[in-house]
Amino acid sequence: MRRWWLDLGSFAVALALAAAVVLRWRRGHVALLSSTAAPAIRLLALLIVFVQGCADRLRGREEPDGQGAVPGSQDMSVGAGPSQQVEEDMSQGANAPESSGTTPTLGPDAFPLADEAALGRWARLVADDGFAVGPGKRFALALVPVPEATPAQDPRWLQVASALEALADAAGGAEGEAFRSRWRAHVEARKAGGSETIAELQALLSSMEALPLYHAGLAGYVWRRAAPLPVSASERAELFGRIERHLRACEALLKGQFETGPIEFTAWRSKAAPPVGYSGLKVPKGLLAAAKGHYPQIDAGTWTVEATLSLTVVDAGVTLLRAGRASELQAGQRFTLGRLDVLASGRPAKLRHDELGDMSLGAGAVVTAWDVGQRLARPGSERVRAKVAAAQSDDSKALEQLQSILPAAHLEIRRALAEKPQAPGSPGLRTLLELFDQ
Amino acid sequence: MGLLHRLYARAAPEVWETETRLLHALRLVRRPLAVQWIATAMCDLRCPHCYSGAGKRAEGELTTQEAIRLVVDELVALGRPTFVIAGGELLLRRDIAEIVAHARAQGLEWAMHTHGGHVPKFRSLFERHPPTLAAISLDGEQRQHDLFRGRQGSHAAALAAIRTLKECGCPEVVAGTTVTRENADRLADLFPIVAASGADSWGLHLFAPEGRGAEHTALCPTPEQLRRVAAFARRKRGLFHVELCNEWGSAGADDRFYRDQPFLCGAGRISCVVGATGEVLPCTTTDLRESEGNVRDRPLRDIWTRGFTRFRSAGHRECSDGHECWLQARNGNPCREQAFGACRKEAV
Repeated sequence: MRRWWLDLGSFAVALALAAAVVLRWRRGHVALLSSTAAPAIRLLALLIVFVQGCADRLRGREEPDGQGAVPGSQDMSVGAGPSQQVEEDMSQGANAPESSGTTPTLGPDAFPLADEAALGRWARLVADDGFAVGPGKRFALALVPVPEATPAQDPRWLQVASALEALADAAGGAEGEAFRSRWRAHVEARKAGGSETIAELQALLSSMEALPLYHAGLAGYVWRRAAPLPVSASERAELFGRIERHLRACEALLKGQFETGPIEFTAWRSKAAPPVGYSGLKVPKGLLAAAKGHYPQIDAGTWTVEATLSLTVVDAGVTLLRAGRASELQAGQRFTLGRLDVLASGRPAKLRHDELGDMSLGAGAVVTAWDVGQRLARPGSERVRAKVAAAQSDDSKALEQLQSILPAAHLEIRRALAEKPQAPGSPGLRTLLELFDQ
Repeated sequence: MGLLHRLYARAAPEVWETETRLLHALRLVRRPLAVQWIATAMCDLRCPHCYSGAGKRAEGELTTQEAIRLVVDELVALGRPTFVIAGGELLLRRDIAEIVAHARAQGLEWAMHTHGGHVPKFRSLFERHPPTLAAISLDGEQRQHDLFRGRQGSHAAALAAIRTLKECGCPEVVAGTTVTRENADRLADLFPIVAASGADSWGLHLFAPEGRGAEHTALCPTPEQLRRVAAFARRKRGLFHVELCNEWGSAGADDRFYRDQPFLCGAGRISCVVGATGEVLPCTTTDLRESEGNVRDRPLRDIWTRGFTRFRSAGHRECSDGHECWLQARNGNPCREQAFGACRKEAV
């Protein structure tokens, strides 16, 4: 039972506080915020913003998508998921049917980390521990920048091997051993100058995901290894579809962490040994739920919206395979070719780029952003070559133009860089290539 | 706290702004989290992008005793914010070891910005009092860095400084690159150097037309370059700790792709700068008209609590807008707004 003097006391304290604020306000005094009052002020501000947000919603002042976006703007990071983009494309064409002949089989599209335990295993592989970067990140940093045809005696391979062993050890278990043997074989093949098959690349990706290691840099690496391989449309679309899901999972985890706070590391401070399995990593509460919530709508980030090529279909009969879906493109339809898309043509067909002109697809052709430039007619190829030559002579305008046609130009850029790596504009071209390769 | 954190993270800039206004209305002021002291205007390099126009010692720089009494001791009264020492080149001050030792004795954490050329000479200081954070300037690969800094060997010295500081136990060594028109398209060549340098992170600053930089406005990167650099940084964050620094301003909800924390301009709100001659400024501007007072005339805590009202109340355009980098806004440097392209359109 509460006593009357408790109520009176509380009232008096509140009155004194209010009086102190009013007096300070009237006298123009300013005081430093104490560390005990700071959280209360933060909480009050949070409450005000929350109430304001609710009031805005009630008044209907919010945009229809409920995110307060600027009119006419589009949220490129969450709203334009792959399936949505296909629908946008379809809306521009007439009655675009869905093709089934080349549709890859990807299975249900669910967030890959099923529970908190899986999330914890992922965090151990990617998060920094306060002393060193996470083993997954270290492996990616060692492997991804190693250029093609790097000789076996190059010291960078030693770093790759060391990082691979550390990562496999950190993962542990049968999955860790499978990962180790798959990737070790891949590294050895690369050192020997050999190339891989699409099945081997699928297996590399599977071995990563089994750990579970979801890492955009390594997924991009797998894409770059797979892109030049001559394989069927469905095989390629299947791998690209899997990479797309992998990248979306990475984006969802990133977005989730921005809301819940990052994974934090606390060093073990006791004299006693830490418990078995202690990592010091603290996965924020709610991260799994946040990432799972974002996953259905999120796109593959830069892989969806950057390094793309806008094309128009001249002849019907071209199928676009994107994110596990196949869609027939109609004559006259405009679409954006991304790095994770595959085009397949059942019969000879043409595509048109506004500036570079026509590109031909023979019967049974399989085209991706990697090799679309090879389909250009001679005038288009020469335009690309001229732009690359100009950019290599340090023409900044040409560099800007190349950025908007990267899929059509990257092979020519690679050729030019191999020929003249020290040319004045070569560093700019190398920076541009990074935007295509990662 | 999990739910509150999520709510806060979703609307951090709004909460920050509301909190600032609320504190102002209640006549309360946050304690600063960091106070930067421009220890000297002296510098042995003449970089064209220098925000402080460093070179010769400025007339009337704070003496050792003044630095200790008017800056360090005042920071203790202000709740021990991080004491960031910059310049010029701070290590050209002969009394820097004495000032750092006093600050450490008072329980202050300290950080520094240096070009790195004199770091090995101060090894014993760094071993005794390792800075919490040290930022070493690295503007490009060897040839470009040396050319830009106007001294052969400055690139090698910067890399040596990174190694020395790590060996001395500095927990976070940052390689800092000021992105200019000259080096924006050369970052792909710089990345492997930074990643192999031993630095913990790579901070990509953005050229600001301040100090000597105001005489070299042609160094301002083009909007296309900014877009490329932002896209480059976003990709590289998966491999290395790359961060776009405050001069870039906010990318809205897409800040998560470029930074660890959402951007909120701290000028006059959670940080300030004490100039070489004791002027208290909101940020690293050389324009003394922005001064809120001099520590020789009024105590720093008084300047902090009574000054900077334009940053803490509404209606002062670039001063009260925590979404923008105040320094860039005051210099009318709009090109960075296009850095984030379509991403920038989204409101938080």
